[in-house]
Amino acid sequence: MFGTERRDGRNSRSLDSASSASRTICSARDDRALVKVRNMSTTVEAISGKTRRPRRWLKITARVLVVVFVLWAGFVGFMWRIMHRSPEEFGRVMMHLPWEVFLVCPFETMWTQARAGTVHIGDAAPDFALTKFDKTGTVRLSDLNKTQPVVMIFGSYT
Amino acid sequence: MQSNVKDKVVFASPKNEEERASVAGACVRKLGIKFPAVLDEFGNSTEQAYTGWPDRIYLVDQNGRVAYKSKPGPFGFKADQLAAALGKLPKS
Repeated sequence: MFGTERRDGRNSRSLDSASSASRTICSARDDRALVKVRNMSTTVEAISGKTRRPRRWLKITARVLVVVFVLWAGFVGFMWRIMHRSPEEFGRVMMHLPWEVFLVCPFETMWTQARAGTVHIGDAAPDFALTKFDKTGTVRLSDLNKTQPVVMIFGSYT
Repeated sequence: MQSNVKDKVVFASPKNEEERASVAGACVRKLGIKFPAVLDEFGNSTEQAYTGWPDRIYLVDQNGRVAYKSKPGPFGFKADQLAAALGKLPKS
């Protein structure tokens, strides 16, 4: 038992010294590994730093684009609303807007739809009786239309 | 609009029928209009019925039906389309 203990003790001492040596070796290896890992992490950081920057710029660009789109959509909605107002109201608003608005929104398409009107090809033309500009008489569409086709040209001079 | 300024056609919006008649007279003289030129009543009821503002062309056939309707001006004001529509009307 003693021998065994002694042996065990020796063994344990030798084990201790072995484990201490191995710890030393391990710690030396660990240190080298740590240095390697540090070097690697530095490299990874250097690499990831390069890859993170574009991602950040992508995010910023995406946010800017979203803000620009929301502003654009709001402006198009505003234009759509005023196109449905009376000519006087529309004119009052357009007076204060630069001509570039024609470039910013699909003005012609929106205008064509907003001013589509309710009378269509094939419909009965609404009759009217209007005074000539010089007050020399009245023109009624249904009278003119009895014997001939009629061309009507609407215009505004203001 | 800038095109009005360029053509020296700058009038204030008429405040009554007299002023509207005066502006229309200037239009008829400047453009040399020969066909009957009529004024909408001051409430713009004809404009509202036809959605004629700012400018637009209609062709009404002898049955009182709309044979051609241009898109709203200034983009849709195309005289050649009217000429084509007139050519399609049945000869009487």
